Amino acid sequence: MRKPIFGKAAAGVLALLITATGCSSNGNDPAAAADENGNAGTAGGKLVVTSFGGAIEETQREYIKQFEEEYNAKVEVVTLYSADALARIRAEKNNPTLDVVLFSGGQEQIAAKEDLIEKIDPDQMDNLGDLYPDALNADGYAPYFGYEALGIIYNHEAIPAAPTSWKDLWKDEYKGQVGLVDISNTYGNQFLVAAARMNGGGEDNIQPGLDAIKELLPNTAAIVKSSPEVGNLFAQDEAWIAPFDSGYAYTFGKQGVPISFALPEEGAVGIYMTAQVVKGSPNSELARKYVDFLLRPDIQVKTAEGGGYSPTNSKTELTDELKAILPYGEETFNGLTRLDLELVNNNKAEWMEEWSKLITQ
Amino acid sequence: MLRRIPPYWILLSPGLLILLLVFVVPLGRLLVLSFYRTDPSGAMQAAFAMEQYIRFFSDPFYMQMLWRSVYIGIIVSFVCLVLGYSLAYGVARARPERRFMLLMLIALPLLTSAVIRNFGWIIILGRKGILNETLIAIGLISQPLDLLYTPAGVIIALVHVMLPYMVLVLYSVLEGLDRNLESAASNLGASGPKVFWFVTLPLSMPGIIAGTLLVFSITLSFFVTPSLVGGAKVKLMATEIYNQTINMLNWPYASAMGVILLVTMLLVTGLYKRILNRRGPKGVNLG
Repeated sequence: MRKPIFGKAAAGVLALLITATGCSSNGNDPAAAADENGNAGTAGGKLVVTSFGGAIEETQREYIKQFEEEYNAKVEVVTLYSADALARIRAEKNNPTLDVVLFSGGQEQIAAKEDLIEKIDPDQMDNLGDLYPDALNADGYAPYFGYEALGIIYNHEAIPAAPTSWKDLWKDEYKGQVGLVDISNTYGNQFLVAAARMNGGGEDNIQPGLDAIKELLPNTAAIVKSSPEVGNLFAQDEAWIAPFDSGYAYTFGKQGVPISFALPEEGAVGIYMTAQVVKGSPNSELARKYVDFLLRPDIQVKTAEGGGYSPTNSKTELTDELKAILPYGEETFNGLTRLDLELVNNNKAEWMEEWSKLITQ
Repeated sequence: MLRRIPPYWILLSPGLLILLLVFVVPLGRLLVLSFYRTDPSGAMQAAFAMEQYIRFFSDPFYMQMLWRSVYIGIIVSFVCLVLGYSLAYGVARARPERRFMLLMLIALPLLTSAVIRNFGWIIILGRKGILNETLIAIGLISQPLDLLYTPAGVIIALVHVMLPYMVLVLYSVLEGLDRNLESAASNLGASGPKVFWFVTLPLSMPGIIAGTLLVFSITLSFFVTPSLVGGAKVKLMATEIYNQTINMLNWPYASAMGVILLVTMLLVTGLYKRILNRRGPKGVNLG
């Protein structure tokens, strides 16, 4: 009698184990989907471009359709984050399947160094002359087509007066209301650097930043890991104020969360978007046209409306409503803090461990 | 020639082959990787060094993480056992025509992804979540409880995710119990609680062992719940292995942590079985 019972239980266990592994693999689906999309080739004058996905995707689909009509081309979109796009063009160095890649974390510096992207010819670009001079790439690669700022996002219902300084996060009145982002996330990482800079440190001396975060921890409601979770923190009223990105503040706001964005007086950190032509792209001519297309004022208005990317073309006119929410204008653009991203990336591993030990409960 | 192969091998071989390919081989690779070195630039070097293990065991931060994982695993298993046993017992004693429906209800959550179920908990556990709002409304607490992004929240969500596994395992045992033995005990004068303690419980021991071991081992390696409900502050082995693999690209260290987690799991479960075997009431084969 006894043995069969256990046998039954064991069989149940096996069956359940199989179910369990099935469940836990669900989280990886987006990556798999991206791979599937990416396998298509570039034959036939077709262009393969990357996209960050998320809120901007719908707008992107819209202006890509416009591009296809104007240039009589076929454009395929592959969803890849910046780091993944860099890894991809690195792996495909001699046989690229992508024509244009989007970067938002300064990856173009590494890509340029490794000779993975092409320089652009200013004579072939119609919109280059209208860009803010500082939006151009000093080494002759494609310029920034948009930017975001890492500043302070806040619940404007709970905090009617806009914060003006990074230091506001440490104020007693926001005790238990501050949201932070883990430094495995780019924005979280850059805020740590900003905190270090505020206190006399910087990319090569992070300790003052870690000390400042330590003082901020008692004020902290939660530390989340990914950008969408920040929106959730505000929607669920877990946090009222957080160091975060203007573009996301805009898209969260569009989803009905009462979020506004403020530029701290010490200088917000700039996050710059570029579209680069992949070296060896069989359609480089068309690819350059696509890069130029993204610099056009009418397209920049679309990316601002759809994804909250601030424009870099001085001729781009945003609606008053957008101007009130998004960082806008050459002065704002020039006032942003530019981090040494190479140094940041090199030191990231070291900071990560210190950070983990600091925040763990 | 064919005759010499015992027939059960023919039945075993397809499954064994799959296990060998997708389980033994990758696990072996993991073990090999865990002895690699990480050079200062972060790249991995083929080697046979104890570097990764030394790093783990010499740093209290990681030791605490391991302890926290085991501790949460034990609590979740225990809570699941208590809740799951009552549930399974109730279903097994229900009228036969209702059992199927009850079992379906219990297994139903398994049809949704664990990710979705955990997102539900984010909404429930938040400071302005359903739970806190309700407790404040009925006057039990005046300040919202901090549950989301804390170990307590992770335990609550994990119990919910794991409970069906426990119930299904216990049910199959309780349902197959010979009820005549219980009747015989009461017939000979044992009270209800006595029958349960001396007859039902010992006879269901195989299910208790299988269920708790299953829940414990899944909990220890579960990633979704600690990641979503725990946030960045609740660091467990599974989330840190992910962090090392994906964010830090330190595969040797992640592999070493994986091996350590596996060995810990084997040690704890081995110890547990041994204790129950020794202490278990006489005459029950605990398999």
